[in-house]
Amino acid sequence: MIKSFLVGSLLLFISTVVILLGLGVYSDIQDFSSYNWSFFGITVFRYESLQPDGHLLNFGVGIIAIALIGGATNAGLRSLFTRMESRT
Amino acid sequence: MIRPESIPHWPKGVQLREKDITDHSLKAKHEITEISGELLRHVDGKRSIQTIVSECATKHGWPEEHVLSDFLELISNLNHHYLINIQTPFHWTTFFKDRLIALFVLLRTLQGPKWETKERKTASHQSQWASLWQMIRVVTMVYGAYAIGIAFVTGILSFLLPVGGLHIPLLTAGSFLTGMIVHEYLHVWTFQKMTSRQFEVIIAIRRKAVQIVRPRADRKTEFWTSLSGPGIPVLTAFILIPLLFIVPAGELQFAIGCMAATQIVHLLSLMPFAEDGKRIIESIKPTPLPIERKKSV
Repeated sequence: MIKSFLVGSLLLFISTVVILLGLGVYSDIQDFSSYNWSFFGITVFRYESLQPDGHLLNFGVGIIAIALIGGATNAGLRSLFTRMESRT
Repeated sequence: MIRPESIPHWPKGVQLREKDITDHSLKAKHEITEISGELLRHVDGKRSIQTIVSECATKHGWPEEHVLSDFLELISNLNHHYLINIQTPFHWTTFFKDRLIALFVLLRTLQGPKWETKERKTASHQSQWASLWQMIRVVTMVYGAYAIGIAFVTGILSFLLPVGGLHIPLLTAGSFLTGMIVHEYLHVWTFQKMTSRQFEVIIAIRRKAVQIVRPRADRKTEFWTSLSGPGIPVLTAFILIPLLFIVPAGELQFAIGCMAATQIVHLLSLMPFAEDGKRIIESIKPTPLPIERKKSV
C-alpha cells in the first residue's frame, strides 16, 4: 500500500512537471499572455510571458497536492484490487 | 498476463521428465507432482492452457474449473522461474488490456508474478552477428518504451533551452538503446569467448528489463564478463565528458551532454549493490567463489 502510494505520487509528480513544461512551450509558441492556475487557492502553475520573447514558469505547492491525491487514488485502487482478488 | 487462451511452450534447454523439469543450460532440476506432470506432458507449443485442461479433465474426470485455476498458477510459477515460455494469440482487446495492466504494474497498483509474463531465450551460438542481431531485437523490444520516453523529455528540453530540433531527441534515444545493446551483448560475447562457447547463455526477459543468466565460471572469466558489459558504455561517457568543455556552447554541446548522460548511467551497474558490481568484487576477493566451494566439498 505504501509502495503504491509513493510510486503513484512520484510518477504523477514527474508527469505533471513534464506536461506543464510542454504547456509552457506551447503557450510561448502561441504567444499567450501570462496566466495563473490555482487549485482551492493553492497555486499549481504560473506562466509568465516575457517580452520581447521567452517565458518563465513557476511551479506552486499545488503540484505536490496533485501528487498526493494521485498517490492516495493509486493506493485506494490497490486496496480495491486486493479485496477483489481475495474474494475470487 | 497469462490467460486460459495462452499457449505454453518449453524453452530450449528445458526438458520435462518423469518426475522433474530439467534445466540443461543451468544444470538444475525442479521436482514436480504427478498431476502437474500429467498436465505438463500436454504442453507442445500448439495447445492452449484451456485446451490442455479440458482434455485432461475429460480424460481423468477432474473438475475443469478447479484444474484450470491450479494449472494457471502452475504455469505462472514456472514462467516466473523462466522454465516455460508463453505465447498469447494477438487480439486488439487483449493488447489494450495488457497495456492497461502494464500501466498498473508500473504504478504498483497491481503487484505479484501473475501480472507479468517472462521469457527465456538462449543466446545464439551460430555466429557473432546472429548473436548481435538477437540482442538488438531483444533490447529494442524491452527498452524501446524507455527510449521513447527519453526522446520525449529531451525533445522538451531542447525546445526549452532552445538548442536544435528533432535530431537531438532521436540521437539521445539512439545512444541510450546502443548503450544497452553494447552492455548486454558484451556480457554474452566475453563469456562465450572466454569459455570457448562451452556453456549456454540465457537471455532472461521480463517487463522492462533484460538479464544475462550464465553458469558461474573461474575468477578471470567472471571479472572480465562482468566488467565488459558496463565498461564500454562508461568508457564512452568518460571520453564524451571532456568534450563538453572543449566544444562551443550550443547544439553540439547539448547533444554530447545528452549522449554522455545515457552512457554514464551504466556506472550504476559497477556499484557494489548491482549484480555486475557484486560479481566483480566476488572475483577479486580472496574468499572462494561458489563454484570453487562446490569443488572443495
